[in-house]
Amino acid sequence: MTTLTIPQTTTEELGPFTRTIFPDGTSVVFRESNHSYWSDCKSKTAKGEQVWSGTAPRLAGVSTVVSPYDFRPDSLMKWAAELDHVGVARVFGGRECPSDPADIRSALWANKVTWQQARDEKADTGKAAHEKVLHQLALGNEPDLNVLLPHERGFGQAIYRWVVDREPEFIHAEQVVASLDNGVAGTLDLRVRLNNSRIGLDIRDGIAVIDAKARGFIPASSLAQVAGYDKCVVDCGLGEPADHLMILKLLDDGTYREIWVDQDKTPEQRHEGFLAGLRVYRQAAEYMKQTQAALR
Amino acid sequence: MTASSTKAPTGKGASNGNGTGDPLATALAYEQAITDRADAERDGENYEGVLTPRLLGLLRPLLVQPIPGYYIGHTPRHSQSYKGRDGKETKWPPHDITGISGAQVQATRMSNVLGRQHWRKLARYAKDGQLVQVWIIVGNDLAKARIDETGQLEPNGADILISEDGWGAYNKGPDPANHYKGAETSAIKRVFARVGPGEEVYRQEVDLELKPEDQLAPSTDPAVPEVVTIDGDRVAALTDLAQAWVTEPDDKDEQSKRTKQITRLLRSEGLTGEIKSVTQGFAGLTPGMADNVEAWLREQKGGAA
Repeated sequence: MTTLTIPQTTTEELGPFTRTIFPDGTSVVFRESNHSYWSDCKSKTAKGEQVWSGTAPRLAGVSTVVSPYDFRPDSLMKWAAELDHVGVARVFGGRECPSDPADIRSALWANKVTWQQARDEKADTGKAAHEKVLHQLALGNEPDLNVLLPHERGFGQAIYRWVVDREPEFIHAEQVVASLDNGVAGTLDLRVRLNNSRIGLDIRDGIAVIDAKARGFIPASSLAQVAGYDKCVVDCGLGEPADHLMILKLLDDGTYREIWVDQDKTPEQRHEGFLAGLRVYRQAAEYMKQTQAALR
Repeated sequence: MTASSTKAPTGKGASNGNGTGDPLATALAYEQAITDRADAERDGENYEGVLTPRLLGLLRPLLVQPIPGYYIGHTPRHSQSYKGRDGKETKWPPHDITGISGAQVQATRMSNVLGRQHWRKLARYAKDGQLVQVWIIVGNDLAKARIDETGQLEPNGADILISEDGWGAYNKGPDPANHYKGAETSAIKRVFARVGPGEEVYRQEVDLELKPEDQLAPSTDPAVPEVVTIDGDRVAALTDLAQAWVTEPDDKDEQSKRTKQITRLLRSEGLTGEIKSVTQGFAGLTPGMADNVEAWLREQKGGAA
């Protein structure tokens, strides 16, 4: 396996922003604090302090514009309700449960087991595995699992297991990409070359864009999201369309699952899946504007 | 030695201590039991002043034993108030807060379990002490380690087995001395928890003690699990198997790649700590992990490309 040796973008730190300059000379700026992408940024001095701001147009995030694909919230609601049920069992298991829903909610909140808190904790767990193991491996390091908290280590093991099985050649990792014509930008997890297959695994050759997820529920939008990253890779000149798009679902027991996206479709058809979501997202915003204008 | 497998004593208001009726005495006895167990682990490993990855692996379950409830504080939502610059009174905190009342119990646990010479705190302050980055490192020769101007840890020859960092901030009050202390306190407890002591508090797997009669059952069995690793013969057999696969090709680069594959395989099995050599890594495997590694190696031998 080779490491990340093909830096095809350059970056520049500008106050709280990071500018990514693509091979064709175009660029986007990213603000970490609120995960926003802008076409540019500027600074001015106010009250003796340098103040930075993004310059319009603001680019929509790839993960944001695919949200129309999650049009049916039932699965998400079921998942959220189940998390709350787990919280209730943990807090009141074997004891009398209050009759006032507000009291139940307060107790769950105090014990940090509401579905929002459970979701955020999961996100932190996934972020740690991403940053401390997956990204480090892509950079050529071999991180100790001790860099993760005990409850996070299963995800780290799963990453190592996948790397052992697939032997990927890392091309891009945590890479800012953009499709300026479509007004979108995002940060892809991994772009790799698959050129090996361990016995027992299906054979996969060629370039793959991969999004690793440590959460339990994988919504439909996640699949369109990977297609969006691939569209951005092509549009900003970082490479050819990928041969494979994949969600790498990491499990806390040290195993993983691969979810291949639109396997039998052409790259153009996969990109069209993303663009269809983008069109609905834009039209939904247009409808909202009309409503707000009428009710003003 | 089973003394440390007792439950963590519950909080200051608890009535179910060890029967003495003195929660502080109960908490101290509990910590002493953990210290005794750590001493026994060191003796069993013929400790001669060096904290090895294997010894650290044996001691870590003691580091993460729950913090006694005596040292855990709970601040209910809106139980306090303060006046802002505009004179307006604000209720605080915005939600219930549960946390360790002081970092000293975590520091003492670190010293008791690891030995004071095997851990160190480094801090880097900014904004007149309102912001601080704290590193906790575990290992040997730690006096050599430094933090560079960007906040990265530079070992400078220190043998670092664990490193964790975190940020803290505090800007209340006009006195910078308060800022330094407040910011460091806010960071260090969290960083200690990442290393081990108090991690259950930050995961909120702690008995909150809102009311003594409402105590929750412990979420996990607090008994210290015995880690059984494979014997020397098994290590030797696995080493032979690995050696045969690694040296199969003449190409040194390919051999190096295969060695890396094996260390990654060990990580995928959950092995923590530094892996200085394949053999040393094998020595840390449990029988179940060793079975998986052996199966993988035999699979490679049988069908290597």
